[in-house]
Amino acid sequence: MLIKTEDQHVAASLIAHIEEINHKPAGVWGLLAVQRSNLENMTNDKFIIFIKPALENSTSSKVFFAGHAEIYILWAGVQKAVLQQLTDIITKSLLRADIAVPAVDMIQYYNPKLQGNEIIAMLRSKPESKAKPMEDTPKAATEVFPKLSDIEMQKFRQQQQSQLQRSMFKVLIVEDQLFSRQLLYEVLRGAYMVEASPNLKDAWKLFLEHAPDIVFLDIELADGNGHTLAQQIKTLAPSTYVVMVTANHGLNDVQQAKQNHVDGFIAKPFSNQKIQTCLDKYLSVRPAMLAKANQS
Amino acid sequence: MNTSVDLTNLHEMTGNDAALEKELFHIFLVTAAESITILRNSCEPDATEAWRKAAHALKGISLNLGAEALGKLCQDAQENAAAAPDKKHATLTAIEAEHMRVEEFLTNL
Repeated sequence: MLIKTEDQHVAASLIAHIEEINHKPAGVWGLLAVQRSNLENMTNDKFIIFIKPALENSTSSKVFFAGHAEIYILWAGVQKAVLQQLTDIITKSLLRADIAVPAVDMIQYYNPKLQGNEIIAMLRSKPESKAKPMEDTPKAATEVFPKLSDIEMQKFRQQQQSQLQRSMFKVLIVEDQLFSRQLLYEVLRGAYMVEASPNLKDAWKLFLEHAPDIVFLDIELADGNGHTLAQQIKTLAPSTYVVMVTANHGLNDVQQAKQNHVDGFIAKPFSNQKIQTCLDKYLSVRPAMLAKANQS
Repeated sequence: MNTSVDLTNLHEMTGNDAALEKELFHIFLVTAAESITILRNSCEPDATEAWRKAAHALKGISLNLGAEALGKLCQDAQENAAAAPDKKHATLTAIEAEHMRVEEFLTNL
């Protein structure tokens, strides 16, 4: 049985449960604390979906969403060995969810029966978390694309210079849907050095770090519109080959892409042929693009 | 015979890598379920953008999977994000039914 709670006083509610456990004579209890900072922007619902196999294996589970800080999962009546299995399932499930920075210590295990007082002290030491749903709010352009310092610009230009010597092209995929991102990543890796990002902000960081030759860029992203990134890229590095990837066929998108001087369009569904056509076209125009960039 | 999904294109893209496809199917099922939950909670007029985004997200992954019928229903849902709640409920029912067929197809592979 799964009980999900997002009440306004998560710590107080959890403390009440742990105090109750301390008064019960028997039973095996487990509490996992998952650091929210390791989950990127995963929504509460998505978290539940991914860890569902672990929750369904126990007789009683209660999940506490402590706002943007932590998630606590409390299990009752399961053996210690089973708890270890549940922890493993959760860790693997979260890794499958493509968490960008899976930390080794992202999940802390506590035994409420033995460590009840310790846990309560820990919860009391933290400011009360207010339950707040995760939101996909478009960020301001200055927040997503902060102005580059001279040093950052210099580093980027050095990376960009290395384009000429690369034996393997660098590709950046910007796609918010894990399914489509993973599919494109798997198709390209091996033949190309591939980086991938689900959002604009991380994509911009990866772009500056790697100066990719080619960018496959989705238009509708959680933190904004792919056209804004295309514009940034084409302004900073016009020789980057930018391909917009979309399931929409709107005239506005085509016009916007033209204004930003993007180099190609791929309409979903992806196919090997569509991708290869783009890559072939890049190969044919690459010398001219690089020469033009060097001149300017 | 279940004709909700045509995996020909996906097989070609993955090079018939069964392990990769299994992983992709898992991702699809999880993400699709999430999108449908959002659609279910966004039938009211004040949730037009949430509905449109969820329909768009499900459309993209459906098309890339090869679930064309589901993709088309989502396209319709996306284009009619501002429709009246009863129309959205009807669209949602159709999406849920087609999603069940896709899920059945993938889980019986």
